Amino acid sequence: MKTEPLLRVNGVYWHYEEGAMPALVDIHLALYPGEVVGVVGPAAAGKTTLLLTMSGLIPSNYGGQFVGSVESKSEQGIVFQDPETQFIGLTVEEELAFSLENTGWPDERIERRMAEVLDLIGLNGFANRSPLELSGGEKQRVAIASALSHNPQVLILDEPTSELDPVGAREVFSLLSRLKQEKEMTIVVSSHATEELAAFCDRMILIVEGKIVLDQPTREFFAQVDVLDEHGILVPDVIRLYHMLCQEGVMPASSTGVPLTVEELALHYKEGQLVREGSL
Amino acid sequence: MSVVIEFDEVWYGYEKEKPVLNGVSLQLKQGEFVAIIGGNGSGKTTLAKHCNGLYKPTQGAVKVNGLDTKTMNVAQLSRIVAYCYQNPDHQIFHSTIKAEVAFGPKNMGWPPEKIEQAVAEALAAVGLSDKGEEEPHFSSKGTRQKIAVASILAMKPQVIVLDEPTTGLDYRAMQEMMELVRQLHAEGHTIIVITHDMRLVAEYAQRVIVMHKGKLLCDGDPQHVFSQPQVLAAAQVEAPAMYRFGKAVDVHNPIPLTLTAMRKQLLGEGK
Repeated sequence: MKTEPLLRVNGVYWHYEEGAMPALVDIHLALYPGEVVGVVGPAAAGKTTLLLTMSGLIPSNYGGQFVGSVESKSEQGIVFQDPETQFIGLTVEEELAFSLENTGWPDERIERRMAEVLDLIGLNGFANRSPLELSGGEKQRVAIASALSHNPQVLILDEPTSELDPVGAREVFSLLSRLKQEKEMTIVVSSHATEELAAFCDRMILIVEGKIVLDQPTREFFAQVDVLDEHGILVPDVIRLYHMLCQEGVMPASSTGVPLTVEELALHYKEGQLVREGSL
Repeated sequence: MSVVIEFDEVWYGYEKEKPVLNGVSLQLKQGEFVAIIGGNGSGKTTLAKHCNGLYKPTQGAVKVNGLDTKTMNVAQLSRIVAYCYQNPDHQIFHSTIKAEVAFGPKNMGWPPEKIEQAVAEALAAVGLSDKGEEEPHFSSKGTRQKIAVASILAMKPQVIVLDEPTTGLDYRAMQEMMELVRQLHAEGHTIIVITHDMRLVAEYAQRVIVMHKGKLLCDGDPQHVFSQPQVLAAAQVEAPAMYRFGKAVDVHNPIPLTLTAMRKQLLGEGK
């Protein structure tokens, strides 16, 4: 992408006041409009801290030593792992209106925006429900709606599916896909669910002990199986099978890069079969 | 294999017209590795909590080693069937890991030397022998999960029920946890795992029980369960990626469920 970045992190070092070690070391990255970026790393690697820094909450809301700078031309919305920790309103409507009222929006504009956002997350008719009575996936969609209410250009999500069952996780990723396709939203999402990230993200970042180890387009990222194994990152079975079959000579390497989904691998495997049988 | 736990027409509910368990009958045998799957509200956790008397049937009976759970209390049943909660923080409350693990055996009235030995063995089994004096609440989620498992192991139960043992863990911690469970199974413990992770089911379970609306929808080996799209849809899960790939490229007899099995089949190994 040749456009100007929405957000740039320049040489950031961050050490929490109470931390034994720095949480981020020499972080450089740029985020471009419309990109969907996945962030992976072992437990306590610095994923949440990186997202808090990108959202601007570090250093302003936390105590510690900060070096470097974050330049932002955009507004960011952030969604946390457990949606309940960020609910304040007694109804979905109150929840969505809360921050807009605090920034002095007029009532009719708030009403209009709430209707737009509920429509966007597919929860029309939920305005008067208590957010605490909803299913896990619905709660997380309300949390996403709250983050979207200000119409930010960048949506940042910290492990949004780790506490959800598969249905809730699918709901969240399907909403994110819609935001990507229909709104060309710029999205940064951290997760251990690498199978979902591989299918969804344009670019992947691996962070280990506060340092960025890999930052690449998704297909190139998942070509680095040795690096991912070294740091204990789950390589999706589809991708690992592809690498195994290429190494064993069962099929050639794909000219379009590493297949990222069952469908992509099946297509590539079938093409390889036709070549072996002499039909192509 | 002898029957350890038997459900006989078990009904359970808070309201008569809305049973959470709706006439479930099944037998769990000594040494089995069983996965219980199902959507939210399907009754899988309620089913599992009947295994050690945390819940008792409204109608019907649950028997553990032939004894009706209604005639026993949870403390007595926990010596046979131990329940490990999804969130380890729901069961950790002592200030050192050692004291936490010793809690169960102490309550069972064991003499101090027997408690000490049980604690040492349980900590060794989960790889935490050198951490006994540490404060459990400050450990990582993976370690807290292991402490929870050690706490139940110390009571030397015949059956171990694990409710979502890998939720929220990173891949390395997940692998360590499941290797520990595999080892406990190899040592003869009967394992019951409640999970949403079909990769885990494919890799470890010998038998899958699918719950739907309080009823037993399907009971069979993973191959049998994954071959039934309607059952998977009702349980709100997808077959593991390798199974879906096998179907897409027509690999059969049987369709491999795991990466290792798929690789072998495609390379023609083991034939």
